[in-house]
Amino acid sequence: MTITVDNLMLRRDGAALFSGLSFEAQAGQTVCIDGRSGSGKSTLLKALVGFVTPDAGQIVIGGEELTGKSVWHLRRKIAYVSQEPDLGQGSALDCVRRPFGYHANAHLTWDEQTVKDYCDLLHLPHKLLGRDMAELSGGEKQRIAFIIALLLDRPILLLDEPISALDKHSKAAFKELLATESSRTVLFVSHDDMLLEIADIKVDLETGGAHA
Amino acid sequence: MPDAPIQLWGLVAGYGLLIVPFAVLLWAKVPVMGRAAIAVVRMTLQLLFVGLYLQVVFDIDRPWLSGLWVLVMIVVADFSILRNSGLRFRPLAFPLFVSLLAGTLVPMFYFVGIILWQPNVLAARFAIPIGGMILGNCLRADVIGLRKFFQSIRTGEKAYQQRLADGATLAEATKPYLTEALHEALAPSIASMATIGLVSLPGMMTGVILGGADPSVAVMYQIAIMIAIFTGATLTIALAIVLCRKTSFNAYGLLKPGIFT
Repeated sequence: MTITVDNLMLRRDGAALFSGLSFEAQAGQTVCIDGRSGSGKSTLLKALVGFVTPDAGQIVIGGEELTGKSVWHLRRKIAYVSQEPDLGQGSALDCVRRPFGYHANAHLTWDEQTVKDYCDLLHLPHKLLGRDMAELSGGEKQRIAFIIALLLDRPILLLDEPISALDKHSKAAFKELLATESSRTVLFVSHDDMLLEIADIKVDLETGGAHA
Repeated sequence: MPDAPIQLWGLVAGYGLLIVPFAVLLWAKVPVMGRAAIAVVRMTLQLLFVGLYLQVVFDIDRPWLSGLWVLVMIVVADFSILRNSGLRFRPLAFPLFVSLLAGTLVPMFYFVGIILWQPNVLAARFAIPIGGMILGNCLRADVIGLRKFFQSIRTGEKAYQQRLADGATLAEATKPYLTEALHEALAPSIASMATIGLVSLPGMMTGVILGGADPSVAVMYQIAIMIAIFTGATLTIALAIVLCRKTSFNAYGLLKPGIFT
């Protein structure tokens, strides 16, 4: 599914984070959003999922402009993992299962074995699923959030610093798993060189341009 | 008329009891003497005014006048809830008014019309005190519940947004916050029902006994009013959240920042 960002401007506290940003992510492409700290990388991902309203320009997802009306069904095309995921209360397994109770995900089939398989791939012990989310480390939460994103099986993946709290081995496992998701359009924010390797294009928020 | 109505000199003697708290405050040098004195004067003036007004309403005893009085109480409660919850009047006043109206009138009409089996559900001597008691508890439930609901979403914004991102509708995303708010708002009513009679004799029961009725009659009144209060509190807070939800979130499902004062 294609994402088109056209002449976008986002502000924070009245000051422009960036303006005139334009790029297009084709279906199946992996895009790295780059820029210094505070340049608006996370805000851009939030804008793509409708948590921040653009001050100028437009966002088009799958040929449809993101508006207050379209956002509800466009969100169903997107899986979003925030930098420090807050998945709510309960055990890790409760949190993984929760989205399966939403009407929008009624077509999905819950399979605990698939969850365990993803845990294996991401070096997470199965017993962690029974632990309370509040007890999990940042890296464990990131991986649980990534598992949810994969289970939701959406054509677009938005990942905000998804490996910032992971150790070297977990980062490698994450990268390997992400590289297999070639059918999805992936936009990620990361300062980690390891992830940059799998990006098809890089969007620089400071220059406002995209390049391969 | 109660068996032992308070005479004017008796009431004056009642003020004499104030010597005790004021003496304690003076002795302990608690700097609330002025505020306490003003509170006593305000209480006296407010109750005198309400007493006079209610006397007129009771003497005329017309359904429209009783209904109007209950409506005025609901409007005042509406303002009071929003002020005490730290929420803006404009987007929430009307949905809250509707929820207070339902939370007060449904149990009030049931109480007067079914439990007391009165032909006139707006008879002043029933509608005003019963409606007032139910409304007072609705007010408390709404203050606690609305504050909890909106504050929880604001402080737990990331978890709330994650629900939206995962595909939740507005109703699905706000459901856990609604559950929490209901739990907290109804806790006082539930605790009050669980301990009533053991910790204190409740107001209505005391009033009925002082009015000259048997304690058994007073107990039946008290049981009925407790159930009516619990029903009203549950109805008003559930409705308040569901109706206020429609005006408090933007088209993207995000809480409007302008709803907090």
